[in-house]
Formats: sequence, structure tokens, C-alpha cells
Amino acid sequence: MSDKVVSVRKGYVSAEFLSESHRISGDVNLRGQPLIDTLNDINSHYIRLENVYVSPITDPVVFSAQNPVGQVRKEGTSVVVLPREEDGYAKHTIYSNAGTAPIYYSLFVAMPGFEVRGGLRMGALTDIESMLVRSVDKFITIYRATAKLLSHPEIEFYGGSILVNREMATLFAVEKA
Amino acid sequence: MARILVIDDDAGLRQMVKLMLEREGHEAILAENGQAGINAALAQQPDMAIVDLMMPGLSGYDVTRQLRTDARTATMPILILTARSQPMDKQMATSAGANAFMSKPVASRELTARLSELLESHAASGFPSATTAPITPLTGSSPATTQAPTPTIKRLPIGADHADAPPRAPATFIASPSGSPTAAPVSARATERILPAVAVLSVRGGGGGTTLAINLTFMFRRLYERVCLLDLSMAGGQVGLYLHLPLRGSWADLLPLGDQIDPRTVNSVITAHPQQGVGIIGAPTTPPSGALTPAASTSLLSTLSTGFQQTVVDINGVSAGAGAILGLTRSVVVILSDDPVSAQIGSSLSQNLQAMNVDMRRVRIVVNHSRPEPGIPAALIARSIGLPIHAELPYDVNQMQAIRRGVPTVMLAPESPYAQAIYQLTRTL
Repeated sequence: MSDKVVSVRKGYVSAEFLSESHRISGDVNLRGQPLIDTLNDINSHYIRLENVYVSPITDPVVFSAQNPVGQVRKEGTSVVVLPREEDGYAKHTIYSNAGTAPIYYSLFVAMPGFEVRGGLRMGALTDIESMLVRSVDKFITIYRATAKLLSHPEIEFYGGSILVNREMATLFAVEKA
Repeated sequence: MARILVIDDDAGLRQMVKLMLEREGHEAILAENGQAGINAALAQQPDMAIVDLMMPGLSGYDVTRQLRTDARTATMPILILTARSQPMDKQMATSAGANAFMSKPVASRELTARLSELLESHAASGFPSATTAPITPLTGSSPATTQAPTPTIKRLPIGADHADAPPRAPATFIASPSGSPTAAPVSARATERILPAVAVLSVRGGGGGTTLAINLTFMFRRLYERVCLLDLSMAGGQVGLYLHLPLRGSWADLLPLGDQIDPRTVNSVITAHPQQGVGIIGAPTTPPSGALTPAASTSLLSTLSTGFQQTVVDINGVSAGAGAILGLTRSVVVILSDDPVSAQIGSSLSQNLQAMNVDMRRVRIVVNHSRPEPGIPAALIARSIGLPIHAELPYDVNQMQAIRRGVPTVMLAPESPYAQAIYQLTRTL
């Protein structure tokens, strides 16, 4: 039997958009483009979500609202939690490391409401500190990451990838893994 | 082949899962929302259900909760398949009554493997098939026991016997020998033998004795048609509260009879559980005017044994009457918590039981882990009380949910560690 994925629509990814106040779950139609690239597309401020379910961030298992479709504002999103590591790959990431062995880093991000920990994977030629502070991309992908809610430290979100809104970050602390 | 209900609001996903199930030789029943899923589950009683969490109207949590409260689906395995895959979601799903949880996206191979595992463990767990080995009667220590034939565990779906369950009132569990409602009482002298009953003795309150007695009773119901639970607590009986069941009477209603307990009066205080038909005699809710004498207790248990194939007696605090019962039951299960107080009280247990003429060969010590934090290890408790530990009951997050819903854990979450431990314990009593 084939090992086909049977539980998500082809071309969609299920994502959780976390802000200081809400947990918003929904499906994003990728339209052939990785989610991180859509988030970093400066031509749009919103991402269209389907099958949207909303919970208060402090009571994240209770559904407070539901709608077939919703538009989530990129700037208001602190982090996006994705189930698998490959869901966080960017197109330029996929191609830019060809021929060079990646270097792994541990990253800690402090931001209003959250602390995020996880791993970064960069090409050997990339200056990691410079990339973190000077990149034009709003969101960066952290792999195998956790986002802890500061007001309720018992609430933690785990993702194969977590996309962090750099504009909300107050600290990046990075070291070689 | 199994009949598997798929409850998901996404038509594409339903079709994908249906194809996958059919390729595996299963039959798929599809439901497009929570309410339709519940209706299909109750009407068709599938072998298991795959439930999405995020659905408009009733969420997957609501669906699971509702399925667990209906006897027809209370034990059906439920697999939650969801894109909300955080540990908190899994915990919530388990609390709602789900047996398993898988995160989307999932590969078909993983999903089919998990389904097979669930179906197999369900068949082999608390609800075994007729091919399961017969229960081993405790014969070594009680040669002159009941004449009842050795029962074999049979598959008895909870919902299937609903229609056959005895009505709550009037229920006649105990037939009089002559057919007369004023039949002669069973005398105490005639009962000087071991009866088909198990006593659950709590050395102190709050140790899980009533919970154990209730779960043993409903597990015995898998084995026998007629099972009774007798709550011999002195006051503040909690069985009715645990099962959300108003009880018709209590043992205190038998006090005016003195030592001569007659079947008709006993029948009048038995409440039949509406789904399972288990007979229940509760304890008084307020302190009674007296206590059952040893002769009355003996006569009561003997009377119950004429109508029930198995009786579980919940004893919390030993009176003279309860002490007499401990000498008559096939097994005496003593429940101890894994805390220092229980271990200390337990240190004089052996002496106290012997003083009540309890045959120590029939005593089974059970350690209950009632908190998530680790308590005193069973080996230490065994050393402290000088008796071997027969079984341990693990902490189970489903317990609170079971009480909240009035459904015993063995029915609500038959694959939970606690229910499995009860199943194993039942086989040895």
C-alpha cells in the first residue's frame, strides 16, 4: 500500500497562527508556494485561511469562534506553528544551500507574550548574526521548536517548524548547536 | 473486517479515508458533522470511530463526550484525527473520552496501523471475545465455595443488552423459593459457607474503595448476567452519586427486619442500573438508627446470592455486620493508597483481619495510585504491612471524567490503564 498522506487536502497546510491574545487554526491554500514565502511577500498584509477555528490563547483548547473562511493579518501574528519540519521550508532555502553542508544553530527568541526555542539550519557561507538582524524577511523558520506562553508557562506549542515574526522579536540569541 | 465511522466535515478527506479503509477491507460509514456522526453511531453501532476535532456545530470533543455518555457507544474505540496536535489538545481529547489521537497530516500506513492496533486491543481488553480463556475461580483457599459453574468471559456489548436490562422498578432480582412474595428468609445458619461475592475493604476513606467496587461490579457484569453491588458504608453512601443514579433504598431500610432478612424486602431496596441491569443497594445518606447485625448481614448476603451470580460489597469502616460478611466472601480485596497514612494503618491490617476470623488466604491487597505524582512504592508498602501486594491500580486521568459523567471507568475508557488493571484483577478474584 502506498504511504500517501490521507488527512490533508493536497496543496494545503494546516497552520496555527498565535498572537498574544488568540490561537487561530486553519488551512492555508499554498498555491504552489511555501507558507514562509507567502508570509514574507511584501505585496500582501493578510493570509487567507479556510476552516478557521479560534481559541483564546490562555484557554487554547476551547473554541470561541469558527468560520469557513478568515483573513489573518501577518503583522498581528507573533508565530505560526506548523506540524512538520518540511512545512517550514522556503523556496530560497531549498535551493540556496546546494553544494554546501548546512550548519546547525540553537536559537532563542524573546518576544512579547512568547519565548521561542528551536534550531536554525544555515548554509556554511551565511553570516548568521547578520542574517538575523539585517534580513528583509519578516518571518524566519525555526525547526523543531517550542513557543511558550509567558503568562501561562504551562501552555507550550510544539511544531516541526515555527515561523517567527522578526519584527516582534526583542531578542535573538544564537549559538552553534 | 470492521465497520468504521468517519466523522469529518471535509468531504474530500472523508472520501480519502473511506477509500483507504475499503482498501484495507473495512466498511466505512461517513458522517459530515458531529450530530450526524452521533446519530450514525447510535443507530449503526460501528466497531470504532475516527473523529475530527474542528467541525462546525458540535466539535470533536462534544461528539466524543456525547458518545461516551450513551451506553451503546460508551466503549467504542474513538480515534481523534486532527490538525490541532498540541499536547494540550491530546489531553483534552483523552479527557473527553477518546482512546487515541493522531495529528494531521498522517500517512495512510500510519493510520491503518493505529486503527488495527485499536481494534485488536479493544477486542482483547475489557470486552473480550468468547474465545478468551475462562476466568480462574479461586479454589485453592475456598474448597467449599459456590456451586455456580465456572463462567467464561463473553463479549457483551454495552448497548446490546440495554433492552434486556431489568426495569428499575419494580425489579424482582430474588425469586422466593415458593413463588410467594412472603417467602421465608434465609437463615444465617444456612449460610455458613463461602458465597459468590467479593468484599472491597477500604482501610480509610478517600482511598478509592468505592471507585474500585463500582468498577469491579461493572467488569463482573461482562462475565455474569446478574451482578449486585452492595454499599455497606455506615452513612454517606456515594455509589448513587458516582453513577448519577437515584437509589430506591439502602441497607438501612432492612434494619426493622432484625436478623430475618426476607427476599421481598431486599427486592424493594434494589435499584437496577438502567443500562446494565446491575442491582444496587446503597448506603443511607444520613446516619442510620443502627447497624446490621452479623446475622442480618449474613442473611442479606445469602439472600442476594440466591438472585445474583456475583455480589460486590463495598465496606468502608468495619462494623460487626460487615465483619461477618468478610468471612463469607470468596475474596476480600483490601485497598490501600500509596501514601504514608495508609501504609501506617495497613501495618496492623493482618492482625485486624485475623481478629475478624478472615481467612488470610482469601485476602488480596491492592495498592491504589490515586495521584499523578509517584507515591510510596508497592514493595515498601508490602514490607510495611507484611503482606504481598496482589495488584496495583495506576493513576488514570479518566477517573475524574468517569465520575463527572456517572459512567464507570471500565465502561468509559476500557483501554485506559485503570480499566486494564481492573480487568486483570477481576480475572483473579
